[in-house]
Amino acid sequence: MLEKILLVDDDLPTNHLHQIILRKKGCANQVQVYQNASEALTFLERNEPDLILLDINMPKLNGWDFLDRYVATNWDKRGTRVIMLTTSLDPKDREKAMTYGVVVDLVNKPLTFELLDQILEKHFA
Amino acid sequence: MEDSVNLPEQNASNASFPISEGEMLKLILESFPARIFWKDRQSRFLGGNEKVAQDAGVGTVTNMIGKTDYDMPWKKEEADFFVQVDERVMSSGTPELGIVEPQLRADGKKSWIETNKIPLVNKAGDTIGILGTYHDITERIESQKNLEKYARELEIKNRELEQFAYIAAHDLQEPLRTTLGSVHLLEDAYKEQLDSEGQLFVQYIKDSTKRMLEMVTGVLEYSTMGRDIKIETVNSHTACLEATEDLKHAIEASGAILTISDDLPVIQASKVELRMLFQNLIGNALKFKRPGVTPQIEINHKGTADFWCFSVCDNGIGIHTDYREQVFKIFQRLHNRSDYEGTGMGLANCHKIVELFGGQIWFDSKEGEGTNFHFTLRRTGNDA
Repeated sequence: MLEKILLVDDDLPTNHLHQIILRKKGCANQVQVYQNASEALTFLERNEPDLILLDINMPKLNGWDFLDRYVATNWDKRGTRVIMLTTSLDPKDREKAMTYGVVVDLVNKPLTFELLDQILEKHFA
Repeated sequence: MEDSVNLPEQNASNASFPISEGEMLKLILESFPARIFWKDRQSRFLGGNEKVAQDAGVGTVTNMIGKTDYDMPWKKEEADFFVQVDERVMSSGTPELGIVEPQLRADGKKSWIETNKIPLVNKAGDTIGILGTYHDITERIESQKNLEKYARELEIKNRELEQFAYIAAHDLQEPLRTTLGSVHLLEDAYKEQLDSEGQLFVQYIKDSTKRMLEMVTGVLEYSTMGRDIKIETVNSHTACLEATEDLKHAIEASGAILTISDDLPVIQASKVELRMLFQNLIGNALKFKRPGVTPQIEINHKGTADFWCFSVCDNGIGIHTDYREQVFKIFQRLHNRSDYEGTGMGLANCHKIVELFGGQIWFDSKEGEGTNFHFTLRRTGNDA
């Protein structure tokens, strides 16, 4: 079981649905949600979640900007893993995501129970 | 012409330049970076440089002498054209410069040449023949043709893409409307049986479907824009006032102060599109106002010889200049939907409109102080 998950997505309903799915699955004690990347970065100054679920396409700071700053702050040396969420079908996004050592996967939104099972088995079993 | 070659006997005696006048002229002819030839009154070749003889495939200039264009490898219609031009230049006494024409060479190469033909007039004033020069411009013509081909292909591709966007958006509307209709019915019939979370999910489906319908409609509008543009005489001041009519509620609610300059001109444009431009830009100024600050919006005009240049300036939240290109792309948003509503099509529409009218749109802005949007429309000859 994961202790803390951080959800970063600008879309409120998506965030809420993901939160419910994570809660129902009972896979984390604490799910923190942010609708914009810079607030999430501030949260990370004092918190070290086990997993960050990160949307790519967000206004102002997008997922890539978030990762750039995350790595620049050396937070990638922490034990946190990042899974990127996207609606994009572009394989280049996956390639790019994997260049950030901290990213372990890139999955299509929205999260479903099935997809979450796969993620947990693949990365947290 | 007599002054241009100044190498008579005095140079023949010059020890550092031991060459006769004849040899010097020959040297110039062969060193000259163009083909040179001359013909008599009947268009028979009398001389030229070796490059012409090579193009003609006759070996040396001597073999050309006395021959006409019909004895050369060029096509008959090319020869006809060359001789016609010779005739015209000799009878009018006026040079023809920069004639672009095809030429089939002896080696089978189809080339393009740029030719100058100048009448040769003797001291008595009689035209005795013609002087011609030409050079190969095949590469230039071919790259020009390639460019034209690419431009045509690009135009076709663009039209296809626009058509694709239109069809996709059009056909997506129906299932979306069905979804929206069904979810309304579901809510109506089963609302009481749903707990608060269930009701929230229904709300999400409704909101997302509505948003998608708005986006699809946005794509439809965007792809059809410019199809039936009607250019007419438009008073841009009136167009701007009409645009504010549609924003009446937002203006009243915010207490915004709008100043529309009396200098807004009467122009040749499409009334619908011009009004849409003003409506989007003023609408944005109202939407992105600073909290607690009364919006002040000024609409001005400053024209140049070639363009009408309008500006819509506000005292709103401003835009970081990093987004100077991004904001004009479709569905691009700089804020969360929960902070500011909208589909992210407004400025994309503005961008497309000004491009249709050969203009540009841009902004300068300071975050926290305001934004000045500027757009230009190309003046047409009929403008007042």
